[in-house]
Amino acid sequence: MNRYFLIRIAALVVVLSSLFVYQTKAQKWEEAQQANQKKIAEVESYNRMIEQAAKTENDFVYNNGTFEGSAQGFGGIITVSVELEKDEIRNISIISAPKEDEAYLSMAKSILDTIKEKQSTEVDTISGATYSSTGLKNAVADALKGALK
Amino acid sequence: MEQRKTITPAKKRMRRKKIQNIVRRIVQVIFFIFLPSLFSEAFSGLKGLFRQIGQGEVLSWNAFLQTFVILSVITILAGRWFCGFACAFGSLGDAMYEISVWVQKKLKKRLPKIPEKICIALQKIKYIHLLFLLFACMLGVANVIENNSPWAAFSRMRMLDFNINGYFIGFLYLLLILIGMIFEERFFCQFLCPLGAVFSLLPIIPAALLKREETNCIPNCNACKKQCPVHHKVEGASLESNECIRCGRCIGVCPKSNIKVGIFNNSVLQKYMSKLHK
Repeated sequence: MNRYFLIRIAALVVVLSSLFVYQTKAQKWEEAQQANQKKIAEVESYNRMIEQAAKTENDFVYNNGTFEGSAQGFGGIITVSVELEKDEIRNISIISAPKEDEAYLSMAKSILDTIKEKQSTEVDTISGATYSSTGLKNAVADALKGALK
Repeated sequence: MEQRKTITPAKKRMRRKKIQNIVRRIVQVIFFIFLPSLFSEAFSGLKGLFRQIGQGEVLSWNAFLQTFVILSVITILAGRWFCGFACAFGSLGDAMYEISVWVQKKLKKRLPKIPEKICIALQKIKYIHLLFLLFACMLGVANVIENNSPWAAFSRMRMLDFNINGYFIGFLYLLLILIGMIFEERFFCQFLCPLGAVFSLLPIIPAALLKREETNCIPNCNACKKQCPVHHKVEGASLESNECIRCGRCIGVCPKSNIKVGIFNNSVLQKYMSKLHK
């Protein structure tokens, strides 16, 4: 057997096994973190419920309904539609993104879930798909601007 | 019929070389048009891994990582075919160099060549480049790099977006690389490509590497090495064997048809084949 080949195989095995060790550790960290976050989310959603129950129609900042907004993505304009009800983002969908690269856009889409989860557009962009995710984020912000009372 | 007989072995080799070259160029153009972002997708996959490690996140599977793993597996099993035939940046380098050679011929002037020894030394820069980029990803400054990277600038240009605002460093870097490509074939691939550095470190199985029977060689011929875009000495698995981008030029140029893929240059297999022929 060629020694250069063997050295390279050994290096690959070391890299892969250290990735594996890291992964098992990271999963444990995440479990602990998720349990923590779940508690926070429960408290927050409870608070929001009470706040909303206290609000009357006139207190809401946004109109109810579906609103469109658009912003510059990687290659061109991205348009999204945002469904609002009682100041809550219920649903976000991409209407058109003609010049985005398919692979990048599918990576960037996960930012929409984060926006819904946090109920805010102040979220971190997706690394690796910075332009497309920034575009999506700004498009949602644009839609929200249009929905202001 | 008589005309056919006049074809000398040398002419035959020339023709074979030409056909090989045309096939490779066609494949490159097809990949450039239909799958131009494979390189940046694969490298994004790798960068994503290191970003997640830097942040202590769980490693997640995504489309970019999938591209990276598929290309790595192909490379381990068969060699760096991706670099020679499919990578858009490699094809760009080939196009730039080919244009440069054509212009040099027309003007009857020659640009200075980078000496071979220096080239081989410069090839090590790509490992430092790779380490630097991955380290930056771990520190969480990947976005800074992405905004200033030459391939971001390149893909913007491909989208016919020439707005330099905010991407100045990336465009400048790309411009410098393009100038380098004029002087040296596969300038970026040899000296800078971080993905190429990863591929160079992978255990490509020796049976898939190019190999030659040096005992059959014409003494001091070196035709293969002179033709090689990455200044590689064909010798099976070695320290530099993974530099080979499988352009296949050496196979075509060898006057003794001495260079074959490892598995077909195996003495046991050859004996078996010659027995079959008998």
